[in-house]
Amino acid sequence: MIRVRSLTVEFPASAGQMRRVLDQVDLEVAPGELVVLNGVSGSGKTTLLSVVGGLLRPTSGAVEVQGRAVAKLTDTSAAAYRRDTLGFLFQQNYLFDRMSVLDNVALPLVAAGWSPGRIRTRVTETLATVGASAVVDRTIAELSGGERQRCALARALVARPRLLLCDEPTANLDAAGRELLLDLLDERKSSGVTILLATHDPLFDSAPHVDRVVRLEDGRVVTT
Amino acid sequence: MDPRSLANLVAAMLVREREKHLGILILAVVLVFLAASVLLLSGALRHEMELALDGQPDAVVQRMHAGRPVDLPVAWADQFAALPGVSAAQGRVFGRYFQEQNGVYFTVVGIDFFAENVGKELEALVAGLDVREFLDGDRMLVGSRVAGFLERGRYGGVYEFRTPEGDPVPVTVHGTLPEETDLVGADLVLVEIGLARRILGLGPDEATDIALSIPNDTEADAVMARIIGTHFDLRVLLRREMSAGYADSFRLRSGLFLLLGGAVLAAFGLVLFQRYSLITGTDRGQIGVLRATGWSVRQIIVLKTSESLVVGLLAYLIGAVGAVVYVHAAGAPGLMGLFLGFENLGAGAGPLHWIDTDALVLLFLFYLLPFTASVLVPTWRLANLDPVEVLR
Ligand SMILES: Nc1ncnc2c1ncn2[C@@H]1O[C@H](COP(=O)(O)OP(=O)(O)OP(=O)(O)O)[C@@H](O)[C@H]1O
Ligand SMILES: [Mg+2]
Repeated sequence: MIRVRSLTVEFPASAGQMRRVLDQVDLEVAPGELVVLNGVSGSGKTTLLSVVGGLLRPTSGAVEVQGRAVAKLTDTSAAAYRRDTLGFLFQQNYLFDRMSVLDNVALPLVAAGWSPGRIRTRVTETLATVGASAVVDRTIAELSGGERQRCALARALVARPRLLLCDEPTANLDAAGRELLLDLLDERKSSGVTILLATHDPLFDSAPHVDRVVRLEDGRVVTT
Repeated sequence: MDPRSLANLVAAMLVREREKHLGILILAVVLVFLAASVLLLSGALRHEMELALDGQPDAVVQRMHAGRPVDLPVAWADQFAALPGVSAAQGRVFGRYFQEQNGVYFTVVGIDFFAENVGKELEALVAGLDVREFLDGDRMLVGSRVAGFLERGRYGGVYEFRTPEGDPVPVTVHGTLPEETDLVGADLVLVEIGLARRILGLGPDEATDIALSIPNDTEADAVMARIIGTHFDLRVLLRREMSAGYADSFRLRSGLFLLLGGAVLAAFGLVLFQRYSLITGTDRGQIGVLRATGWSVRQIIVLKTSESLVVGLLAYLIGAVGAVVYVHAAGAPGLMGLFLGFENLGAGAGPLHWIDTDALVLLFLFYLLPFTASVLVPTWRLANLDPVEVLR
């Protein structure tokens, strides 16, 4: 599903110097696998997910998802890739505060050309699976942190992607929410969805459905 | 994209940033209203002046003494009519009549009902008049401002003019000129030509000037030279010079509006800058999120442009309709005075019926294109960056 080869990402740092955040990273994730990406703050987890998600062009190296070179996609095919193949759950959930939950979760479907009727049905369904059916017509600003996290998850899942990238998915969840998240990931995994998940939550170290834990340290993979 | 889904999202985004959009809407309405009012009014006035010029004769001969126009013998008209290139010549009688107690002017114009009038303007004014009835005693047709003045003064349908010698000349009001003629005719008093001579103190064989008909414009200069040759104290005004004169006075007044126009432009520039920086500020993250959730650059541009067009079109509609109502239904109170000067019987030329649609279309383009571009350009720039960069 995912094949990362000698991936290097550098960001401009002070005084014209470049800071290397990912250094020759190799990673393969098979279809249907659940891989946890582990590492301290600043080790490059979000950066790696961004490159795989086509949100960031790497300095060098290759990233292929389902055989397509993500960094080389044209604008329209990159958009189609993010919309149809990929669900991205961000660390900061990036929801629009003053818009309704419905409008937020619907964003990928609007881009995909869905009609309002179909959108509403699918969004309601998806919100039910993340346990947030009650909030469909409220605005994001009225929601608790956990409710927001569920909405963000719903937006990542709404187009039923084959690949799910999750960045700190448990950050704002209580015990019940974490249970629900694990069940949900499990359910997606069993329907064949590939999941790459970045976290420093120890919950995932012992979770039953995790296939592998990959550890990042200073931009390098240390254990596979 | 499904247009209904897009519309829903645009509506949600507009509501989301309602304060920002309302602020821009109000500002844009004010600017469009100001610019459209000035354009509509100047367009309508120019149109009226062109109409007025259309009614002017091809050339006018005046007699000058010490640099001032004085009366001339009406018999000279026959001399001029005989000149090659001139198809008709007619002595005209008109002048300003000063009403001292109230400090207002009437423009008294004599009509010769037994000659074909040179210049269409007078004929248009008296079209449909029952001449026999009009000539039955001393009667006049008055413009709207004169009519208003007589009404306020309770003259009861008869106004007593005085000749320069002080003899009273009572004249009955026969009717009021239609409102459409106001720009040229609001302070007019139309009377039979002999009566005009009495009121203005001209001798029976005198005229104020002589109007010429010169069918072929290329002969005008030759005609002018011949006429000046007949009498040393003559001046000939050709129509093309009069039209230049009109245009000049108009341009002078327009200068006033250069100032207003400059202010409007500066304000518009500020609005554009404001929008531009909003896009690079507040909307920045929004564009990143859209891209991350599967929106292509083209789709984001469609979305942001629709959002901008809703505000822009609404502002244009309100502003332009407001300006049409203000100028064409309300007669542009305030602005009209600036254009025409506060002269004579009070400014206000009555309703203007000719709407300068070309100006409205031009304003539409010159306003909406930059308005939209001010959102489009930064959106395009941001949407082409890596989403991660825009999100930070
Ligand atoms: N666009 C960017 N420009 C410059 N530096 C960046 C950029 N994105 C990330 N960085 C830097 O790269 C390093 C790795 O960031 P990254 O967000 O990938 O870490 P992380 O492992 O996700 O950390 P956390 O656990 O805190 O989320 C950090 O030091 C960060 O400051
Ligand atoms: Mg991170």
